[in-house]
Amino acid sequence: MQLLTVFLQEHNKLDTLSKMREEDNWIMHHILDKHVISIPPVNLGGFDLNLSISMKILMLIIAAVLMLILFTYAAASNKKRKHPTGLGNFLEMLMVFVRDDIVKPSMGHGYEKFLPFFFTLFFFILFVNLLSLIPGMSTGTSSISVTAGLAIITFIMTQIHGIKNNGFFGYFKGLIPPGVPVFVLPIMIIIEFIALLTKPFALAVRLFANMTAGHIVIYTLIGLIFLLGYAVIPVSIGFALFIYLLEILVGVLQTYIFTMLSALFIGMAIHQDH
Amino acid sequence: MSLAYIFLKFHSILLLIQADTHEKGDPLLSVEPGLLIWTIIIFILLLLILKKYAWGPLLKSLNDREQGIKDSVEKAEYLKQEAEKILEKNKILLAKADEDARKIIAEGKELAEKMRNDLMNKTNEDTARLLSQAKSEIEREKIAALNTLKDEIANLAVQAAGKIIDENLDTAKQKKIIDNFIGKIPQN
Repeated sequence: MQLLTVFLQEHNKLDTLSKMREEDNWIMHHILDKHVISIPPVNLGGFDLNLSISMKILMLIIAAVLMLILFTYAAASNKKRKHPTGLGNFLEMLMVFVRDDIVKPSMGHGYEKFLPFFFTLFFFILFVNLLSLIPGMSTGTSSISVTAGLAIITFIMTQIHGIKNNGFFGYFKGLIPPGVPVFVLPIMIIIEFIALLTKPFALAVRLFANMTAGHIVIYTLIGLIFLLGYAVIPVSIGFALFIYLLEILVGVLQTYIFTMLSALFIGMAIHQDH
Repeated sequence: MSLAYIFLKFHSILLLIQADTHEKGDPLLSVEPGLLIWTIIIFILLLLILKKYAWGPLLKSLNDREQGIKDSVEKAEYLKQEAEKILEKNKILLAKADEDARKIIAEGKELAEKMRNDLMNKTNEDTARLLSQAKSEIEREKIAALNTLKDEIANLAVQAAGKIIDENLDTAKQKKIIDNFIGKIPQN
């Protein structure tokens, strides 16, 4: 009986709240993008391309500028002395980690040529992910468009270098595992073609979902305070802090996974024989 | 009771989110081409700039340092081996020198012993020789002295007898008698 009354009360509240929400869904408001600098849409053959600088683009630019400053500084400082110290040493340690623990084991021989690409990929995602944890900042990677952009770059790199190393026909022939009977060939071609497209799709969705979920949970936990009253502040803040710390781990982990899988895909495209 | 309450609250929040996203046709999952293109542009620009100004120099200094460390370690290893070789050689040389020194000392001792023995023998011999020489000299001198003494005594006796008997006997005859007498006297 009691439960029922509570349930009815809730429904009443819910009705009023959803009316409020239609005007202002504050969680979505925080997760989604908003334009900072509006640029009139460019029309490309009947297709409107809106190149306005939004919050997320601004975040990407901030991350990029931060990277430029830090890494050029590190390069200059490491060049000066024989043994790097401070920031240069730290960034170099991360670079060595990317090189020895991500790219080298995933790609095998011939990985040196791709190091600049993977360094940029790794640090760009890392910077964007970690910048998103600063209050007031937006999460660049919690937009499927941004992660799709990164995945498309990996996809294009994979195809270009696969074709470059194995020849155009060699590359596509190499996608199909050797020793497949002729009658399975049509199915295999379709499956392999889908697999080709699934890889970047999975990359994009994985990063996007992981970076979005944590932030939504944090916003929700904070929102609980306003829904349930101030009594839940300790619980809410405690959980939000826990998720926040978890987000640091997730941000680093997803960067690692994205870079490692990219290296794996490109390595597989180059060395098709194994 | 309170758990059910919290559950209902959560449920309402989820409903709200769901209701909102359904209305606008999932703005969370729709790809915005502008954002996508911006991402690619920023990434490529970042890659190009960093490749030239950061990754290149950083990788170069990193590789140089790693090569340097590798070389240093190899060199140290080589030098250590060399040093060990030299130490071994030195040990052998030292042992040899030790043995040589002992041999030389032993030889010297032997030589000294021999020389001492020789010298002692020679000294003994010399002493004996000198002693016998001295003895024979003394003997000879004694004989000569005795002879002189005999002559002197004989002369003195003759003179004395001459004075006593005066002219009764001639000198030659008397001398003969006395010589005979003296000759009968034992040598000592």
